[in-house]
Amino acid sequence: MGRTGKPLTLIGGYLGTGKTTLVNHILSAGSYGRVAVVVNDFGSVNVDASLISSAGADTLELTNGCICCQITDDVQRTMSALAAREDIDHVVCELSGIGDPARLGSWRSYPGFRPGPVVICVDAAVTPRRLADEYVADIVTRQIAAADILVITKTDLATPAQREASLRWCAQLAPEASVHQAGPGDAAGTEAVIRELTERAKGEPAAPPVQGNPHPEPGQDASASRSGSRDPSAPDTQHEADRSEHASAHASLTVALPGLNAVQRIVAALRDHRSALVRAKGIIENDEGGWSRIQLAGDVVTTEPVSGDRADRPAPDGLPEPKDPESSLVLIAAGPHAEQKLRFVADALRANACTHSSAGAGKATADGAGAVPGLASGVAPGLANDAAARFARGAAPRTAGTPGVTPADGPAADVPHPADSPTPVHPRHSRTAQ
Amino acid sequence: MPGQTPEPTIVYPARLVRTMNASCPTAEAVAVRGDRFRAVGTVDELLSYPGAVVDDRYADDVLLPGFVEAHSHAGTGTTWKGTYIGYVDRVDPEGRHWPGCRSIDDVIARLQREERKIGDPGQPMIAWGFDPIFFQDRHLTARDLDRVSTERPIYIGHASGHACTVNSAAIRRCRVAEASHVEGVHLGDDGQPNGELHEFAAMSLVQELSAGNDVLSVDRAALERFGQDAVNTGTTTLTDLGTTRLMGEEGVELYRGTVGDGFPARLNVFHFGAGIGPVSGSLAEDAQRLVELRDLSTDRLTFGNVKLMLDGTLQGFTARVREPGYYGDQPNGMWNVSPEEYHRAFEIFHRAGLLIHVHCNGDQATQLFLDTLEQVLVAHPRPDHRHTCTHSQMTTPAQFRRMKALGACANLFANHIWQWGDQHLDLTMGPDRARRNNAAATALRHGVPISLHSDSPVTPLGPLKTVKHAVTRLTQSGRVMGENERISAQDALEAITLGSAFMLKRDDEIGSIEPGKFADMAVLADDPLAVDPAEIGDIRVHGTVVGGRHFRSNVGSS
Ligand SMILES: [Zn+2]
Repeated sequence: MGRTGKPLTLIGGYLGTGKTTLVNHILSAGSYGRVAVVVNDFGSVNVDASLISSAGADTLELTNGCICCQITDDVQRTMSALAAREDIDHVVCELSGIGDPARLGSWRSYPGFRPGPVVICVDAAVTPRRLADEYVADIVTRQIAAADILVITKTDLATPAQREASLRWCAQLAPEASVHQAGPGDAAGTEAVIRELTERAKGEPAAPPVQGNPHPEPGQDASASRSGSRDPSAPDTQHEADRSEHASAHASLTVALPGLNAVQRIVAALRDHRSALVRAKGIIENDEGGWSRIQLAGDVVTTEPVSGDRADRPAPDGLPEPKDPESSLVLIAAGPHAEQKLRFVADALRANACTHSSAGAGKATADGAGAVPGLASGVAPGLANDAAARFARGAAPRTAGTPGVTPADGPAADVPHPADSPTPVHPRHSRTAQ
Repeated sequence: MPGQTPEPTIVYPARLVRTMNASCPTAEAVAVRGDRFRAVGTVDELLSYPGAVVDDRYADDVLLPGFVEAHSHAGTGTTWKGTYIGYVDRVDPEGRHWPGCRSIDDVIARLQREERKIGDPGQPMIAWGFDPIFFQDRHLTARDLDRVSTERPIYIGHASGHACTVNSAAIRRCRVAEASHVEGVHLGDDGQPNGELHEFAAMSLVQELSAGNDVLSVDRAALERFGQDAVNTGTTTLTDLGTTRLMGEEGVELYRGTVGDGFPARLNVFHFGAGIGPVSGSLAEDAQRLVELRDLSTDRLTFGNVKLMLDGTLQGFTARVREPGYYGDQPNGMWNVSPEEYHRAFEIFHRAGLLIHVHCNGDQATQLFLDTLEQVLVAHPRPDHRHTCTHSQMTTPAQFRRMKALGACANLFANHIWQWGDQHLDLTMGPDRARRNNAAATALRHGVPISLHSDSPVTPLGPLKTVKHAVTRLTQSGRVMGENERISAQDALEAITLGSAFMLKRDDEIGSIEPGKFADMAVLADDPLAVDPAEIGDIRVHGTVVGGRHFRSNVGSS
């Protein structure tokens, strides 16, 4: 039950994090089917007046088929009315700035709805400060932790340090969420977010259905008043259940990078292909006789040395690190071509792995290079040249490409790679592919 | 009034007049001319005023200034549309006494008795006041309610507002079984909905049953019941602390059309400015409208005040508390509005010159109230603003000092001490911090102007009972919660008269028996300062005088 309705996607994030920018894009794009967007306030909605076909007190109907509803104080009425409408493909609900996605999340099981992703906007400049704020730290923490998709916004207002800190927090609080950056004017970034949320909303759950959960609302008042205490473990349990339902459009792949690696080359390769991935992380053996932790989150690659025996070090977040003793990276991609993207990036990484790496590296590079023209479409400046230079170290790149494919769509690697078999599973269950 | 026949001055001899005016605390009689007090004194003195006549209807009674309830809701009148099944005793506005339901069996027996009185078999039965915190080891489920009726849908709203229990007939009527996967629909051992519905998605499955029974739904009949409740409790000034209806003409007309000269109480209507639903996108215009509405205020009906709501409740673990948090390390509560939006709303209403009362249950909410107030006052100084921290339940001594320094008032929720004191000791705050729950003595020590309130219908309206709770600090189980926070009966009586009048900015007109003020009085059978403090709440209220008009309690004498 509950799998047949239209997806209900939640867009949350603290006040002023750019939720409405996303909402405005969804409304005016009109290219994602008949979407009903529920907003807190019409005042913030900014659609071209010529798009509006009719306007009621709490509803705008647009010529592109989209609908925008203003939430009244009667949330129940708004939501149950939308659940009952059959002429809508997708409902996107903007939460209030202090909205806890877990709270409104229960609507995703309401008859007429099924769970769509939770999208959380994160202000790159002020999030670190908010996470230290007495009044709202826990609110912002809960929001980020509930995310399936994180959108880093206001990057233009953030110092590099603030941006990095925001990304680190995101990686720590929502290790499984995909991370996008969508600064102002970054139409492609916003597009990529909308595309991912649309894909995910469409996707049928690949994970086994969640077992009946009679206590869905962790920390709800009622259970509190019944038992006098809330079960602090409950949110995680529920959250995990939520996630496994709509992490379906994700695929992950573990790439073994044995031997003594030049960390900077791996980092550079990862940076070059960041737009194809939503996350990457792992620990690799470096060529200085130690280990380095490498992370990609929100388009930023970071690295830090790992001291001591890596096996003794707990992962700093929930994302599983490769368990085998060899150095490796877990890659996560999203979207319809996630598997191809993973193979492509894996190959590129292997090409930059230590000089004693397997012969497969060269071959992989040859396959993956097919995407270079697509990557050069101008969205990720500097990427194409670097990539081309790197590919030049391997076998000559194939010249065939898929014109017009943007990096977010990933390279259209039409040649299956026999060695890799990425599995479209929940990242928690990722396994080594080789 | 030169050239006109002066109105008569009516002298009311009493057993005792307690004025709450320090320059003349007691008197043997009070003189009223028109709707105002003329004087207090001996009967002989008062008869010396021109045109004085004696009316000895109160000769055996004790007269106090009419009580001023600075935090209540007009929805009190709405809730009585349903059957009361709460844990504590209540008296309805028709004067009927409803003993508290101390067990699930009590609840069922009450429902069975009342269900038989409903004619139409298809009409849902609504009950209110059920608070599961008092029934730790036992859930109320559909199976219980089916003992009342298997045909009529029954809807039990929980006191938290975040859950309800319905019977099988309601489950059938609203097709809950077909939606058993909805989060918040609790299932029994048989895998079927057991009648408990938690949070709004699940509750909305049965929304059709309970429509129009919430506290924010107010109509003329509800206002009138609320007014009678005031008469029955000696209250002459009420607040409706938070309505969303003043921005529309219809809402304003409801109040203006109902609360006229014949209405048995004064009513201060607060606009719910933030903390319920999305914050208005037009706060400045809203403030301007309130300024204009304020000019429509009458002696009976006041507009132009604002209520903002910051956090949840202590007993629901939704209040925002500071270190060291809840007793059982429960996660912190919730904000009803973000600090930024709150700041903006507060600043706009403050700059418009309006009076603001802010709901703060936990001490972190109080802290945000103080931080915001300080910032706004530095930017926009305003003498004598009297902004009020209402509930102010866990306010610390340091916060009271700051409140004093910033010119703010504290309206304390003294009824909590009795209603949920045991839960605060044992579950929410723990034995230590529960001591400072509604710390009236600390507030007074630091010179903070205070009042004490009921938040009716959350707890029963009844200022004398509220006084008793502040004076004794007894919990329902008979423990004294924080003996050093007890205040004197005199201080408590001042708090519910002059104190609340002060924080409503009406202490020049109401709150004490003084010449020139409105002739508002509570007519009591006994002197609250002469009885055992534990019995103050049991003093019989005969009725009230509001602006010189007499209103009789309809509560039967016991
Ligand atoms: Zn209230």
